[in-house]
Amino acid sequence: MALSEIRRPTGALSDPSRFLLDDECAEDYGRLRDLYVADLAPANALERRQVELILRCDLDIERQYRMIQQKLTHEAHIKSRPRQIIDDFRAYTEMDGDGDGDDVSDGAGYGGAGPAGQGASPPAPEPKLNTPDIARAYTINRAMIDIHQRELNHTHRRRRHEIELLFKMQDRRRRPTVHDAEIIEVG
Amino acid sequence: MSPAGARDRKFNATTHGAQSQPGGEEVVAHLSAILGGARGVGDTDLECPPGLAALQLAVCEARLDRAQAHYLSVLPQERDAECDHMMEHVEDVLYFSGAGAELEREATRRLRGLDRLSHDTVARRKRLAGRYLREAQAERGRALEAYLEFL
Repeated sequence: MALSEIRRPTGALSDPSRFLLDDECAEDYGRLRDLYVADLAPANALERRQVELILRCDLDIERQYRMIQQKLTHEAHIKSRPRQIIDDFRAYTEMDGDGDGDDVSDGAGYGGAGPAGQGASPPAPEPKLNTPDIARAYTINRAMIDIHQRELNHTHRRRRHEIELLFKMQDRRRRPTVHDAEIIEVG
Repeated sequence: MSPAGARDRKFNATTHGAQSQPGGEEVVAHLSAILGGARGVGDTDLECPPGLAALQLAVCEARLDRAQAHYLSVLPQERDAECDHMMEHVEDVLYFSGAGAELEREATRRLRGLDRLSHDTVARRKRLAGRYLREAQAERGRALEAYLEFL
């Protein structure tokens, strides 16, 4: 790359929203970054970047735990989509009266949830979870939970590696200020 | 081109975008930070080994950012829209054809198959995005260590 081709950077470096989910707050990210910077005391841009990567690892660990929790608790009472469709269809044919289900001229059941959504009562509060519910949610979502678990393990490893790199950089920076050991003659 | 083909192409572009050569602006932004501002970039000979190592690190940093952004865009996905659309078709057929134990069994079988496919598709995307991210992180780690040798 020729130097003449290099233009002034546009500040695309640290736009935190690129590295956050919709339900995560960029301000919180900024606050956390300040805390990490205060704690790990980076002295230059390379070290600051390293601190930011450590922070991203920590956020990702939290994120993976949150997603696993979501799979195990909030989705424990949600019916699978095929089950939902078939249940809606059965409710529709039962309401239809004769049960043959051929009267679709009013389009009530066409392409959607059928009459289940019509005149529906307000949603009931989520019932309390017990162990069988969580076990059932785990069985249903096992493949996805395994992915998050694997990512979690990987992020823990990555975090250790990033910290190691930061310490290595800081050691290298401080090396010139450390005096050489002096050999003292004994006796 | 069929709508399915167009969708595939779009997905390919996203997938390859996560691994493609990053844009010059992103690389320059990182290079500038590595070398200590725009002035540092101007003062550095990018053809000598330290300059090349800094440039390589900047490219890796930009790739890492891309891979991470791609990973985060895939992470919240739960279902594949295309499979869900096909499930809606099965549902339509069910409502139009009327009740019948045989039809209901067949519809259930197909809906379950599509549901599985939807989950598998999203799981594959997540695994792939995770792999891209790990590759970008490993590459960036190596580039950083190489650059540190010159400091």
